[in-house]
Amino acid sequence: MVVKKKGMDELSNLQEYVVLATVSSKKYHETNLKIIKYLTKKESTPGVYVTLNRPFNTVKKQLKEKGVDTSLIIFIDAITKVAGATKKTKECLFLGSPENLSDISFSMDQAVRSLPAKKKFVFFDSLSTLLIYNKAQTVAKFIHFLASKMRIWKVKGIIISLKKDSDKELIDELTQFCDKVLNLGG
Amino acid sequence: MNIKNLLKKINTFGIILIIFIGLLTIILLMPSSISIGLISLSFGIMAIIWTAKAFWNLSKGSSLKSYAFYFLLSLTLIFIFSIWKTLGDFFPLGESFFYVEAVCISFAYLLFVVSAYKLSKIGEEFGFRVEAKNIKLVIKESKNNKNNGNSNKAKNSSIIKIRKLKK
Repeated sequence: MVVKKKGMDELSNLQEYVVLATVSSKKYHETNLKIIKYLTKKESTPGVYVTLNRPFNTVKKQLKEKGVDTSLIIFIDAITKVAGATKKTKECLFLGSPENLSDISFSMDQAVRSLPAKKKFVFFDSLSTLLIYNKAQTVAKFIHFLASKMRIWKVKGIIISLKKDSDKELIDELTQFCDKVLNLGG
Repeated sequence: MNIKNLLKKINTFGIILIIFIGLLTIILLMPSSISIGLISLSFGIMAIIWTAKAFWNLSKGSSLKSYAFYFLLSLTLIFIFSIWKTLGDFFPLGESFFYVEAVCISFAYLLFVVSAYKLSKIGEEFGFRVEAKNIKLVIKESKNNKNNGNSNKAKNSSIIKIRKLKK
């Protein structure tokens, strides 16, 4: 199994957490899918999936192939280009740009607060993509803000990042804001 | 409580006291129409400063920034309207100056309509009421299915037990 079972089992004991998960590029997609499957199938937790990495249609297709019930998830897609600033469909909110951090945080706040369950998760995919579009200092500030928000929301928060040498410094800096740094494969 | 917090509290209290004394002085020394005008202006300045701060801090191209922009414009026009009105109290202006007031207030209302429309769009786009309702249904269904499954299991096990007893 790609997702290190020990790491995920440790998390299953916790009600709420903020975790920074580093994944190798080779096993990136597979690991993401397994985490979502774990949260929705094993724990039946509804949640918010924020994708800055792959378009919503691709994510949804892959999740369905893995047997994940996507009806438990609110999707926020900040990578698919849309006409105008934002676009809402029945299944997803498209924000148009990963640079638009105000809309990303505002939509996440609204989505999480609307979830009708005590246990909920937030899956942020990914820190590495955020770094392509924004300055490292801005990303650090945003993740700090996001981590503190996740604690207020009382969710299982997972921030995914590619395991890259160039991001090592930032990941080290972000470690202080998170409860745990999980090394998931690679 | 540490000294830093105490100083902070004293500082906040001092600021409130100064504002209160300032307002009282304006009310006591000035004719009522001028004092009301000056107080409205001070509130207007505060509202403009806060909205401008929000506008500069929000990300470029975000829906909230766009809303803040139109709201800022409406506030500015209301502020200009208030200045004009207060100036009119100090120096009586001719009737033709009334049109400046009228134009300011009309455009301010027009911009308020635009910002209200923007706000309704934000509500539509960032509101997840429908999605939450659907998720609630899915959770309810899965709970029902689980319960049905459990009751079926219980039924089956009791049937097995009865059969064993019969044997």
